[in-house]
Amino acid sequence: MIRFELKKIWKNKIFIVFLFAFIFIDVILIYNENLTQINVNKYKDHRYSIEVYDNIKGRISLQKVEYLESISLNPDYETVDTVFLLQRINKALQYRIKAQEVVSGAETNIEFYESIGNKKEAIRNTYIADCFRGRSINDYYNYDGIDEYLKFDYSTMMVTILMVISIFPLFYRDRKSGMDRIIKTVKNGGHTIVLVKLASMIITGLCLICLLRVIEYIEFHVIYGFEALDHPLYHVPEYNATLFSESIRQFFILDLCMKCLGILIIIILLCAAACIIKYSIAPVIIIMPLFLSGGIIKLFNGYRMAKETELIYVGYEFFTDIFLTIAAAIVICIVGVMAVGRLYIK
Amino acid sequence: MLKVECSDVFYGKNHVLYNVDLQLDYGIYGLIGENGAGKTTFIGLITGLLKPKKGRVLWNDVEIGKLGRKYYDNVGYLPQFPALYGEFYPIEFLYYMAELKGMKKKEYKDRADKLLDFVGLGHERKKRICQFSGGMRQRLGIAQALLNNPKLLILDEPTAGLDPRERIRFKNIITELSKDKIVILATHIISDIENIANEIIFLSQGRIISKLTADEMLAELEGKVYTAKIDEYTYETIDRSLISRVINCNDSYMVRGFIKGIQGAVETKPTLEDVFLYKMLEINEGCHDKI
Repeated sequence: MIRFELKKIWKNKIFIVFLFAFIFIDVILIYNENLTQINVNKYKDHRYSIEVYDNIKGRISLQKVEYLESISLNPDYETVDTVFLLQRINKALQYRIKAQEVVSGAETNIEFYESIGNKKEAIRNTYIADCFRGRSINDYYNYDGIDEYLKFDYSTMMVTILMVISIFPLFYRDRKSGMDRIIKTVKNGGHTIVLVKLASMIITGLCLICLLRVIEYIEFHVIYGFEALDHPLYHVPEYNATLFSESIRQFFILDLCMKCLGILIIIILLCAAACIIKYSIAPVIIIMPLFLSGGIIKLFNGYRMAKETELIYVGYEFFTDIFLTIAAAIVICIVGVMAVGRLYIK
Repeated sequence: MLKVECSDVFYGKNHVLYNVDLQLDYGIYGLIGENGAGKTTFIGLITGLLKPKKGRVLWNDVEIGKLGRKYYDNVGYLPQFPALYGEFYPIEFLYYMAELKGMKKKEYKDRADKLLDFVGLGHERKKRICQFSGGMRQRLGIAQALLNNPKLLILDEPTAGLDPRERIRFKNIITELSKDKIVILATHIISDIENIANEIIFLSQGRIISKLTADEMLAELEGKVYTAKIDEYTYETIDRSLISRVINCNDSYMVRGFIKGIQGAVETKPTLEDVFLYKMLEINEGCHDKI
């Protein structure tokens, strides 16, 4: 049955037109927002930068530092910003010390809070110390573009609009056309069909978000040339202070999963709205404020979580806000699916 | 067997069906009534779409509420003007409906093919439903209603939009199917049920006025229906509500109806259209003495 519901969505001309339009807009937006890098890539002397980078990337060594210092006086390499590169390498090497300072600070706090009986803060600082303990950056790679990729988040809004378009053939058209009278008088016309419709929306939404995110990844990779993705996220300069110790690749996947979860919540809310408000375009009106306020989209933004992770004390344990968001999302999904089932039958 | 016991249906505070009480066995039942009589509401009641505030509906002596969705294994329903799904091919649509009806693939594949041929759409497989005429959609709608070989087949205004040839074809299909089914044809087109309905249920203003065979209904009107040729003056002055048919013949009119008192009126055999008019006149107060 799912294949037929999917056909209703994907055979909708308006849906297909919007899909292709959004893919086009997505590509153009990335292009426009990263023109600086694109112009750098086109610059005729960029090949010197590439040559220098190829010679210094990887494990940091004294020879590489000396190499950078030697070419800084070479007129052929005057377009290469060797000072910037040396600063980057130095900062990478300094990271271990900074991380150790964070650990020491946290350990001091642990002692203090334990002495005054503040278990909550003691546990919180233990968590921070554990995150930063043993961190170091011994390699140099160009991580440009990773922050831009994680920040780029138009795809969630586009997929939400596509889901609003999808809801018409699945939920509203049956009522307007009288097909709902036939469907409600068949064996699987109760909870089964509503779950099938919901599953179709979810499959479509997840496929769309993955598709757009993959297109975005490919375009960013073409512009910036991602590498060393198996290195920890904190190696990326913009994410030095993150509490996440996963690799960049793992974080990309986590970011995609968070977006999928956000889309899942939006789909369930849309379906619930379509079941409650039977004959209008109310879902559009309901969802728009969510866009304007950022709302659900911001909540499930991996970029925000990497930069602004909060630790929240629940019971006797600390959890990251990402963990709690996922847990809450799962509960909302389960309750939402049950609610949609009941509302549709009514 | 389908039984409706003393059922009343409300839309909010509006009482729309009053004390509906009847029993239906195998055969064709015509459900006739004027627009707004409650035909679709009655269908909603027996399909479980509407719950009665009072009374109950039983299938083989079990309340349909207690049967739950299993009741629909026995039901085939075609509502009024179903739009169907334009982007589907007819066979795809039947497969979809078959899966909705809980049929297994090996069960429905063959049946859907045969039904498509049965309703005369076998050679239209390569067209999408959006390319179908109204009559073709109606026939496809009948095919979907028959997929699960239902014991209770409900067709609401099934011939609306069909041309005369398709109407005849439809009547033949229904007659063929009715041997081991309860077929309920809701219509206000009398000719749809003429000669095929075993019994006719007359519904008006939410009430069942009568449930009789066509012959019994026609027997009630023996000696009451007349035809006459009248001039224009008489036509202008006659009570038009008593006329079931008028034909303009140059400077005179050939009328038919409950016009016994008109000079030159000749008694004629009543038809179901006359029955329909008679029942409507009966319902309107003070009209008995006119007839």
